[in-house]
Formats: sequence, structure tokens, C-alpha cells
Amino acid sequence: MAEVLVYVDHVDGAVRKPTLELLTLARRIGEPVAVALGNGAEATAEVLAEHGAVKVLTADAPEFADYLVVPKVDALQAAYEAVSAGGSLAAVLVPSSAEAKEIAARLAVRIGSGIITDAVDLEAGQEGPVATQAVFAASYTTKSRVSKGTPVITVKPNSAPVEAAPAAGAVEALTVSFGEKSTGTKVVSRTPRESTGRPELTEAAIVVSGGRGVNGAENFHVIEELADSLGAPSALARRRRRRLVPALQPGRPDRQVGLPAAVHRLRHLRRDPAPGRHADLEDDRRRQQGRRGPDLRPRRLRRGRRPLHGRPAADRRGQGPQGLTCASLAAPQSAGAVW
Amino acid sequence: MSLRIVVCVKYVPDATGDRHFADDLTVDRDDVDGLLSELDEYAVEQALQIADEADDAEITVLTVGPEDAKDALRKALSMGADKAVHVEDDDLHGTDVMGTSLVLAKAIEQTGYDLVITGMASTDGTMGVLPAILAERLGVPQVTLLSEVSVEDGVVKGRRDGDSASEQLEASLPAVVSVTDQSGEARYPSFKGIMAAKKKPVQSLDLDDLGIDADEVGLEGSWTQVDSATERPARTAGSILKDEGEGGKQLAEFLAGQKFI
Ligand SMILES: Cc1cc2nc3c(=O)[nH]c(=O)nc-3n(C[C@H](O)[C@H](O)[C@H](O)COP(=O)(O)OP(=O)(O)OC[C@H]3O[C@@H](n4cnc5c(N)ncnc54)[C@H](O)[C@@H]3O)c2cc1C
Ligand SMILES: Nc1ncnc2c1ncn2[C@@H]1O[C@H](COP(=O)(O)O)[C@@H](O)[C@H]1O
Repeated sequence: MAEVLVYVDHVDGAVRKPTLELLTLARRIGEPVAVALGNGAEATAEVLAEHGAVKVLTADAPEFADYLVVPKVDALQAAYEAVSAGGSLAAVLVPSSAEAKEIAARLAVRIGSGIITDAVDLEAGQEGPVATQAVFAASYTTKSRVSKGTPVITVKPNSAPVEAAPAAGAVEALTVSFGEKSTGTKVVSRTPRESTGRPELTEAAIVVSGGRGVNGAENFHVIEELADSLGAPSALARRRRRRLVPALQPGRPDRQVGLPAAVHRLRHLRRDPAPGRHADLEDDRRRQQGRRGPDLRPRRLRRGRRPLHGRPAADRRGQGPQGLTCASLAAPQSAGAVW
Repeated sequence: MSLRIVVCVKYVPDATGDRHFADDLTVDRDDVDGLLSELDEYAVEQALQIADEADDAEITVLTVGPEDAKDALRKALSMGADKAVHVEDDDLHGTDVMGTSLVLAKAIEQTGYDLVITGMASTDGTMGVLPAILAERLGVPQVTLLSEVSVEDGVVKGRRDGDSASEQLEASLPAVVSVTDQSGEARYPSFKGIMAAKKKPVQSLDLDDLGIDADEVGLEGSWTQVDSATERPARTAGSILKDEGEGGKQLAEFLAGQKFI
């Protein structure tokens, strides 16, 4: 059976959930061989084995922590060469975290392979793995393949369930020689992000998001409290940058959501619109266009953006006694990706 | 010595417009209004700030894109960049990230550079990997996803806010930098800037000028293949609860009803 290389995203040995989801997808294509790098690499093996890794290639060296990205590319390339020497490597799968995507992309250049980023599903196909992408703020779904080299595919969180699938998970040390370019970017210091005790926004299944509807930063706590009761992260809804009301800078949301923050596909993300407004910017836009009729000016003259807010500010506010006019939620099964 | 900064900017379909695909499954860039990718404004802004701090600097904005992509270059010029390079060639239609990065790397080398600055991701492809690929191709350090950046004595420093940690990074020039939307508001072009931009030079290059074969790029030369694109069915409206005293209860019921809690 063909092998699938799976890059492991972990913090000091604690494997992050998207990697376990990735193992579920990898098993659809072949036998997962995991690659874990850096401090705690060997400690990842047990949980990886429980989720289907037949082998875990590990390497640790100071370079992984002291220099940005390139040492990990060198190591992943070493793993690629070791496994493909066996002649049956079907794909390289990588979680869509910011760093892992960069590692995947540089590997793809080196091995002369195409890359697909941010897949939300993956199936085996006649001509190699078929990736589903949700594009243009999830208004389209595309199916793509890598047509040259060994497919390198990065996969978004929440794209597959985590499944138990016990396998051998034999730990093997990976021999890595670092290239001359590996020390180009020095990591001078590193401050771990303070944990809010809530799931990472990018990995959460439910996100509670608040915006102008709460009528001021001092009221953001209603969003926080709801988030806590759901075990979800909170977020500050963000319309286009210039339209963000400055007074509503974070009470303490975990992060901002909305264009163009790089946190797109969340399973149940709903933005909190101001009262009486629809949750989705694009739908807003279409409705407004509908109201005014199509723009008949020649395309060249249609440059400027139309105003998005025709409504007086007073109309967007208004908070009831329980401070909950901002709530807008969708059923889990109907919730698609929003930005 | 003058500090040579190249800023990569992409011309993208307006995200508030009706973005869709053309028949060949590439982005329809003809029917939808385009503009300078919002995230690339941050790259132009940081270039301008770095140039301000330097004794002597020159900012070139570079795009690979169809004819209308000139609009993106003009916008960057009107913000204050000095000159522009536009790579345009019909054979580029349908190019994937490997092809686009190849073209950008050649154009950057031909222009000459000490520092390349890009946005964190485009607002159409949203891959967020092009800067890393550029660094790989150019063989220079990658200092990416910075929310703070400065250049002094041939060294670029910056803060990268990652998923699990915030890192202070440092590299010698030449280097490729990408900046995030947290790096600082981009300026609006002034009237003077807009007028001045009209006189700034825009160099046009095609594949021949860069010594790239047509079969290395475009749909044919692409290392990825899109087999289908399906429009999402119209979204059903979310529920809006109006709080007239019982909002909390209604919300709880809604959450329970949908099995959130
Ligand atoms: C919806 C969609 C999905 C796609 N998926 C894939 C895929 O999975 N694999 C693949 O190989 N290709 C894909 N493409 C094609 C790819 O997006 C383009 O080739 C593109 O030019 C490079 O990727 P990006 O815009 O996503 O770059 P990003 O990595 O998101 O861009 C980062 C920065 O690079 C610079 N930059 C990017 N493009 C240009 C340009 N043309 N000119 C100047 N500067 C630029 C900008 O500074 C930008 O901020 C996709 C395109 C679309 C529209
Ligand atoms: N005529 C053209 N000249 C230069 N670049 C182009 C042209 N058409 C498309 N591109 C670029 O090629 C990539 C893929 O574009 P598209 O085929 O429109 O999805 C993008 O980076 C475009 O900006």
C-alpha cells in the first residue's frame, strides 16, 4: 500500500487536533507515515499511533527552534527522500497552520511538485488525491488535483473527524543535514502565546463572535460569557477594515474574524451583525445592489466601491435589557464557512 | 548605497463584488471589478515607512497580472512608491502559484533588490505561501508574517505572531518579508500623490523579457489542475432574536434546539 507523509503540528510533544484530523484523511489515500520535528517529537508517537500512523519519523535539533522554517523544510525533505526511495509515496499532507503551509510550499518547490493549500476535504482519485477547496469566502467549492510531482496538500482544521485507528507507530530517527540557507532567519526570542483556556480560534468548532451590536467594548463581556458557557473562543466581528468602529476595539476577544483575517474556514462561525442586519457581507452587498438596480456604468467607471452602510447609526444600535440583540446563530448543519 | 525595495502587489477581484469563475475555471477577472488586494496595501505602507527611515531608498511595485492590473500599480504609486514593473502576457492566464512565483522571482532579480515586501496573502487565492516560495527561489532569508518590521544597517528585524508563540526575528539583507494586517494602517493616497503617480514610470515586461518559456506557465504549465467549481447554494438566513426582555431565554432555547448546548 502507498505511503502518505503527514507533517505533525505539535507544541512540545502535544499534537494539535488538526494533525489528528489529517491522519483520518491520510488513511483514505494510504498508510500514514508521520514526521514530527523539534522538542518533544518522540512524545507525539503514542497519540499518532492511536490515530493510524504506521511509522513516526522524528528529529530534534537546536536549529528547529533557533531559525525560522528552513530547518524544518530540510527535515521534511529528508523524510520525503527516505520514504519516496521506497517508491510508493502517494502524497505529502500538512496542516494549514501558517508555519506548516510555508514549510509545505518550500518543500514543493524543492521536489518539483505542485501544491494545493487549504483543502477542506480529500479523497483518493484515479489520478491522485482530489482536494476540495472552499473559495471566495466559501461561495464556491472547487475540486483540484496536483498534476506534477508528489502531491503536496495542506488541509484546514475541522475538515475531517478525529478517528481512532490503532497502528504500529514505530518511532524511527530521521537523519537530517541542514543546508547552508537554514540559518538565514534567526529567532532571537520567543514568547509563548498566553492561553485563554479556550480552543484556538482557528481550530474551534463553534465561535461566538460579537461586533457593533453589543454597543461598545464595555459590553463585550456578554460575548465572552456566552463563549465560555459553550467552551468556545470569542471573536470580534470585523467588517472591512476602514469600517470598523474604533470605539469597539476588543473587550478581550480571542481574535478578530472576518475579511481579511487569515482565519477563514470555521465550521459554525457566524458573525454577529448589528440588529436587523443580515450576517453576511456579500449577501448585504447583493441585497443593496438589488435595491438599487444593476450598475449600468461602463466597467471602467465602476471602480469605486459602493457604500455598504446606507443605514443611520442609530438604527444599528439598540440593546435590550439582557444585552442580547447581537445574537445571530445558525444551525450546525447549515453553517458553512463565513470568511 | 540606496536601499532597493520591491513590493509585490496583486490585482484581485473586489471581494464585495460577485466573484466567480470563468468557463475555463480560472478567476473571472474581466466581468468583476478589480483592485489592489487590500492586504497588499499594508506591504506598500511598510515599504514607505522603511524608505522614510533609510538615508536613501527606492521603492518599485511589481505585479504579475492582466492589463487592468495597472490600476493596482497606480494605487501603490499614488500612495508613494517610486516606480512600477508590470509583467503582462496572455500566456500567463491560468498560472498557478509555482508559475506566478517563478515569474515574480525573475522579475525581482531583473529589477535588482535588497528587500522584497509582500502581503500576508492575496484576497482571491488566499494561499499565503507565495512569500515563502519567493525566498526559496531567490535563495534569501524568509522573514514572514510580521506585525512589526524595521530595517537598520542591512538587517531586517520583525515580530511574527504565530499560532502558539510570538517570535522576534532577524535576518541580513537581501531578504523577503511579508507583513500582516496588524502591521499598521495603510495611508490613503493624497491628491498630490494621485497626480504625481501619473508621471511615475511603469515598465512593462513579458515572458520573453524574463527568459521564461510559455510552457512553464499558464494553464498548460500549471502543476495543479482544477477539475470543477460549484457555486454554493443560496444561504438560508440566520435567526435574529430581538431582545425585549426575554432574549437570554430565547437564545438559550435556540442553542439547545440546535444542539449547541
Ligand atoms: C480561489 C483560488 C484558489 C487557488 N488555489 C491554488 C492552489 O491550491 N494551488 C496553486 O498552485 N494555485 C492556486 N491558485 C492560483 C494562485 O492563487 C495564483 O497563481 C496566485 O497568483 C498566487 O497565489 P496567491 O494569490 O494565493 O498568493 P498568496 O501566497 O496568498 O500571496 C501572498 C502575496 O504574494 C504577492 N502576490 C501574489 N500573487 C501576486 C501577483 N500575481 N503579482 C504580484 N504579487 C503577487 C502579494 O504580495 C500577496 O500578498 C488559486 C487561485 C484562486 C483564485
Ligand atoms: N494576461 C496576463 N498577464 C499577466 N498575468 C496574468 C494574466 N492573466 C492572469 N495573470 C496572472 O496569472 C495568475 C493566475 O491568474 P488567473 O488565470 O486569472 O487565475 C494571477 O497571478 C494573475 O494575476
